[in-house]
Amino acid sequence: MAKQKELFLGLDVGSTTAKVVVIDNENNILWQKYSRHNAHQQELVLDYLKQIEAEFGSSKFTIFATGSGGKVIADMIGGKHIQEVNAVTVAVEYIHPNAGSVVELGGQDAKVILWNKAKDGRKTSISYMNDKCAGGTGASLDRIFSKVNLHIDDIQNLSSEGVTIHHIAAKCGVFAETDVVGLLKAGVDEKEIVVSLCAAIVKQNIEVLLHGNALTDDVILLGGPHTYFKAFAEIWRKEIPKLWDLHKIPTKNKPIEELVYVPENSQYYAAIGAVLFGKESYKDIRNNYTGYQKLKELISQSLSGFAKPMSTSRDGLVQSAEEVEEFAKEYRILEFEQPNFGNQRNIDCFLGIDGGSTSSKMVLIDNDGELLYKDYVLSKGNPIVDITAMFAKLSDWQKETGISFNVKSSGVTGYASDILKKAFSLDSAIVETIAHLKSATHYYGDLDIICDVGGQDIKVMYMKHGRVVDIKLNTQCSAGNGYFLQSMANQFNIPIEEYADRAFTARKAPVFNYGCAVFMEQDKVNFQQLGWSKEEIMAGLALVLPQNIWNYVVQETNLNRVGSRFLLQGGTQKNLAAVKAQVDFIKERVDDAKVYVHKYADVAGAIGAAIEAKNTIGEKTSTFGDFEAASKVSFTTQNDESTRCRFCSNYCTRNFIDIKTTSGETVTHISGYACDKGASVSLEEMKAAQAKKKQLRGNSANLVARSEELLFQDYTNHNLPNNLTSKEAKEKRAEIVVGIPRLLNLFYYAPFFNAYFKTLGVKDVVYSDKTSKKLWEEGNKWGSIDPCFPAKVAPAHVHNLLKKKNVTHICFPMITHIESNVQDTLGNNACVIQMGTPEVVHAAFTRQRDHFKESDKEYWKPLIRMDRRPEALGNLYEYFKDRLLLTEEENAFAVNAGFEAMEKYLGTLRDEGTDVLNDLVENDRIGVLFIGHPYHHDSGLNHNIPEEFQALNFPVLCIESLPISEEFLAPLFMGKEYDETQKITDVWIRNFNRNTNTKLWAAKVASRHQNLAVIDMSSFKCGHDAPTYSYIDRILDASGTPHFLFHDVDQNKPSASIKIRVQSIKYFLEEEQRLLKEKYNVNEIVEA
Amino acid sequence: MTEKKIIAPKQVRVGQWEGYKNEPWLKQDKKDVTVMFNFVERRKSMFLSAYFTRKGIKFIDMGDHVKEDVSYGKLYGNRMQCNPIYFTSGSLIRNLLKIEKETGLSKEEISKKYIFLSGGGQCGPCRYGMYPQEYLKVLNEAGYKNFRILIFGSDLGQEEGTENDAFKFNLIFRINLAIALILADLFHAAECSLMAYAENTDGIEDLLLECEQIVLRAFEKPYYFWAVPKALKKVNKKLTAVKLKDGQKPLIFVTGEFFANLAHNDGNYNLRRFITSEGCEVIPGNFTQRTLYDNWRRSVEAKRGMKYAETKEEYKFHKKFLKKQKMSSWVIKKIYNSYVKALKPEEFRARTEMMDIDKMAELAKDFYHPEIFGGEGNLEVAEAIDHAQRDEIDGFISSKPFGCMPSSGVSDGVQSKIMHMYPNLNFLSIETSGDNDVSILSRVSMLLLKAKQRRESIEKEK
Repeated sequence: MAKQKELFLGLDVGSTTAKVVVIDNENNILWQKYSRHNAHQQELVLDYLKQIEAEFGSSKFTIFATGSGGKVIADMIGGKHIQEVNAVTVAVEYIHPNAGSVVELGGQDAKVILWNKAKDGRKTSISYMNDKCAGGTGASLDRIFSKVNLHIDDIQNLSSEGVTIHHIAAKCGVFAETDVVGLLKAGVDEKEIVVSLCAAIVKQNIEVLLHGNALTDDVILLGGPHTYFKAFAEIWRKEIPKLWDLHKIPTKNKPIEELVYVPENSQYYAAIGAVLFGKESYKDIRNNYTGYQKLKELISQSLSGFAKPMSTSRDGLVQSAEEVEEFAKEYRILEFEQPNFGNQRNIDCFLGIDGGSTSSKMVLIDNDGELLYKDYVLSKGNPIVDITAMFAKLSDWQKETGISFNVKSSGVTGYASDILKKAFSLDSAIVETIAHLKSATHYYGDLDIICDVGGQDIKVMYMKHGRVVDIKLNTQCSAGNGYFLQSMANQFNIPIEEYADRAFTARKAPVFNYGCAVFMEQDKVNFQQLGWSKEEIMAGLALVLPQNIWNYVVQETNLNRVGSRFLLQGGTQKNLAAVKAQVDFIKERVDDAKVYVHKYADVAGAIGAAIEAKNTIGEKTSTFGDFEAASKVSFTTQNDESTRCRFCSNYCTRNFIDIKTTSGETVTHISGYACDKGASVSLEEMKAAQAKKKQLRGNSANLVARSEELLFQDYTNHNLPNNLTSKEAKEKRAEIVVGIPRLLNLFYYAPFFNAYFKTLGVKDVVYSDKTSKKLWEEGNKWGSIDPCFPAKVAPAHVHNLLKKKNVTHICFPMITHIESNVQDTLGNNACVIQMGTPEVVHAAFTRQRDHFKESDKEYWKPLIRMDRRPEALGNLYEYFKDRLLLTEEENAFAVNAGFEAMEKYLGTLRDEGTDVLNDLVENDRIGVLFIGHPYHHDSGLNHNIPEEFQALNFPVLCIESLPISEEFLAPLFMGKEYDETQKITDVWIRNFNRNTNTKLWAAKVASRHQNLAVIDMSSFKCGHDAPTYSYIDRILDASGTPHFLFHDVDQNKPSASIKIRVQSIKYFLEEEQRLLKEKYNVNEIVEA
Repeated sequence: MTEKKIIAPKQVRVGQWEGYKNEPWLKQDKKDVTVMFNFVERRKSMFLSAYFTRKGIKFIDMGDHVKEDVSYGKLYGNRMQCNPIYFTSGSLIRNLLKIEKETGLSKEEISKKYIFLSGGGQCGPCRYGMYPQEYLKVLNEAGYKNFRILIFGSDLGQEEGTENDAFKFNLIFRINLAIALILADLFHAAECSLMAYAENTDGIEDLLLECEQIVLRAFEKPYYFWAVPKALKKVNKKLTAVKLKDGQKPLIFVTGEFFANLAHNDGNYNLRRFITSEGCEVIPGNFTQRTLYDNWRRSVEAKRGMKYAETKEEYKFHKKFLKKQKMSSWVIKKIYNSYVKALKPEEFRARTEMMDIDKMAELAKDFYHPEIFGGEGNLEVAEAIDHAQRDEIDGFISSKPFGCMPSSGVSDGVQSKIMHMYPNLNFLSIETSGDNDVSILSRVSMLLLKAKQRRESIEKEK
């Protein structure tokens, strides 16, 4: 009888569904159920338990629960919680002993499990899981599918065969939704959108979760999305064989459908696995089921709110209605009241427009900068449409009131400023940050922080000495923006305008985990289960908003250090609950904090554009026509084969927008292009634009790019004396083509190795291609770890040499120490990642098979200490004496040639640096000193940022281009001995790392040279740069040296963010240059 | 070199930053100052306190790190640091705030009356070498302007400082430090075996505390060199009196980055104790081993210095340095072995064997060059190969802080190959962040399940 058997109950409570299995001691499944819980997890589980008791009696069960909602319920019924990956691993091992890997997609998580098999048959597994971000999971599916006009059955059965795939950012569920909305607006076929989304999710998981591993067969696909959407399995079946080819992984001789598949009952694997894992791991836990009474009580307590103490709670936003009143008096954004114009009928004004990503804004200000008129609309998809409608409204208003505004000048800002300036013949365009800065300082004086929180975008600007020194934007993740509050209000059927009033009624609130907005959904479901009211949940969500902004997006753990004067702005400030949370958060952390909410928070950018228009028009006449004409601006958009860019082999798509402007002429605006070549219509135009750009660049040097160019030149400067080399050695070397990866320390020592090998008579030395998106995408499937990008890209470079270059050997030296001009240090160490990456790369390409051997290429990884020449000499000789049939004499000759090459490279660069510095001083110009590690000269790593400044006519220098002579340093370090000018011990005592040491030294130089500004670049995860951040800041701050940060740089090129930063910095550099020129035209010159 | 004329700027910017001050602690205010310290976890600093007691120097033993320390570290430290920096700098601030609250002293007074003693990071291939720089920043940002720090290296042969210094890192201090670390290692080993095999584990923690006190009192005596071994013999009697179970539990080797491996507290989620509580035996990380590794590294550097010396003086300098390292290792091993002999840990199943680093270097050399001095990175690759070849353990855990340069950034990449070479090695690499204990310990549970299955099948075969 079933009742006498030992019974195990496996429970899997996920974010959208709950599954249960009853299993006997022989692991037979006796009973199973699966259902969506629709946010009623506990009720559904209670129902399951009742059914199970009815079927099997209420006697003895051993319960193991898993899933994101499993812990709370397990505690109620006596069950033991099992982690989900562990459960799935054990289930697959039991059901599919031949499985090589698993990919499981859940509602909010994604997992990959990979097995290794020992000779004795024992298997070990490794697993990877998304734990901080819901990107690449099924989270977005439900919400996005509800936006397309297809029946769910049709979606489930959609095939990916022959469907065009469009770009969707699966990195973040919320961003993916934005992309989908964009595609829908562009009229893309809905089936294509659905399949594109599935493809994006698969791609995201391959890139993020596999860590350079291949999925070995059988590949088991688990989880709801795999089970219900046919397209997923099809896409995996296309993508996985590509990985097998790349890694040369042999597979079983079976059709692909039998190698990659969704098994039956896949939705129950976690529940089954929980039991299998629990049985094995916890042999002393048996018959732990305590009945469903406590669960039942919990449900009824939840209904009456008594279960709330089970979650962590905090005080609500306010404790009384009076408190709300007090707060609102100071912070509520008042409705704009138009000034009384009295008898005035013709009023001079300045027009400002802000074309944002989700809204468009327009203002008119008077000569004192006071607001005369404002308008704000949520974007209808195209900013021209929004703005023409706004002009029509303004034109009507003029007719009704008889008042006529006379626009003396006009300005625009925001992401659409280029197109709007053209369409409406506006006088000036200004980058958003400066617009915000201008508007903020106009009303609130000097500030330390401007925090702009919009529906989707978060911008936090750090200010020092009136300059924006750093900008934090949410480019990868939507956590922290106003969207979540909006969507929560929608879910509760509460208009967003009532959000604050409702949230202010709560005196307690549940504590949400900050971070990914999608994960917060799960918290919300849990809190509802425990009986928290809508109002309390809304208060809790508002309270988590500042944590998301400051802890998650900005990652500023100590607000106190950024200053004390904060300005909050952006559309989200209309929600007083969000404002209250922010103000409290800041005031709790910052001594003497002064927090302002911009009184025109929603149109602050437009006001800044109007102020700029007012300040820059001078004696000129405005190009802007009148409102009537502006309201008639029309346009047509074209996006088809004829608009595709054909200026390179990428053939990117673009949009052509033909605009009939206010002046009546038609201009074509191009958008959506991938690089600046795409901004031209014809080949001639493109060539002319490129030539102009080149000419512009020609006006200013870019020694970062120049260094990159010089580094990888041919440095053959000596031939070995004839008598030194044996015939055998000559013949051997003549066959050798050395491939050197173009990265890391080779960005300093490439000339050395080039000269060394060439002098020894190898046939050739070739380098891997420059770091680029293409190179990265072709070779990024090898990396097993996730270090900084300069190291992470290494396997891609070696892949490039291995597959694309005709080389016989690949040489990736492990350089332990690097020469430096900085004196009296504890060391000249390279960082351990630079040293060890050649080993990591070697492991990656020899892990499953020896790809070097199979390609008949030899991999060299000599360990060399370069800062002590005798040691470098010895290291190279030891390593190459047999490999190159080398004599000591030959080696010494070649090493000497190598160091001569280094002198030539550095000498050239310092000569050119001298020219640039002299030009700066003579002409009172400002130059940009780019301080980073030598490998930041890699244009693929620095995202061409130095080039941007060059194109803006600011010469760019790198550390290596700074002269190190007494003539240069003595005047800067007034009164110091020459040796002292090369030391950093006063500011940096733990000077182990060579590259970090030179950064600090360069900062000291720049902090004294008044013609230099600094860009501090650093890679994400750089362990040696992190401790220097505040030190470099202090050195430059103390003397008021303009300096700007590009920290945490990685493989993603955030073009929009770079553009905003560069344009902002340009503004301040111009200002600095203007002051400098003014000083020497007016003031007496004091000789240094 | 350039011969071009360089034009000096028309004016030089003024207002240069002079760096944080770290004034020396001088003899004249020796009596007024209290030394604060903690070394990775409480046993090490507790045993070191004997030196200060003996010398009559005022001290505060800050003991274990707690979760809260990370927040203090993040609050005043630089962004993007690893959690050991946040733990160590944060614990200092937590303790200073406590002093401020309890004594009512101002921050300025505290900066004068207290001093922080810490290891300075020995090599520098990772952030570790820069810790003191971060301490200075954190202290100054938290308002303790000009608070002083005393930094020492692990090198027994290092120079002592100046005549006027109140505190000298002399040979006696260094030997005392070595003894403290050795004693802590032995007690951890004892805890690992007793908690795994004692028939009744209820009183074990108290028993160990009692034994620690016996040894500490002995170490505080002027003739500690004789008293400590005697005390260890006494401890042996107490520990061997504990009834132990037979059989072999699943055996887990824990290694990895120095702090994440050796903290044995919130700093690594109490990893070792968690594994024991799940029914396994742990081979714990050994601090003394790490000290010997540092000596080994310095010896290799000295040998290289001798090999490539350009002058006689240079050669002599490196030779002398090498001699010091050899002597230092000899002393450390001598003390370790004599204490092991006195304690007889094998009598209560404790594992205190140390490895031969030359052999380890040889094992790893084709995969992770031993002269890439990346702290423990290459050592852990060697350990993986060694254990895989010996096939005696049931699980191998490499624990490291998130973003650890030698470990996450290099050895994990190399280990991916080792795992393919030796699929029998039940391997797990975990990254600690200070706050994700639930998910990390879940991953450990999976490894433990595999370890249990392996041990069970071995026992069955027997």
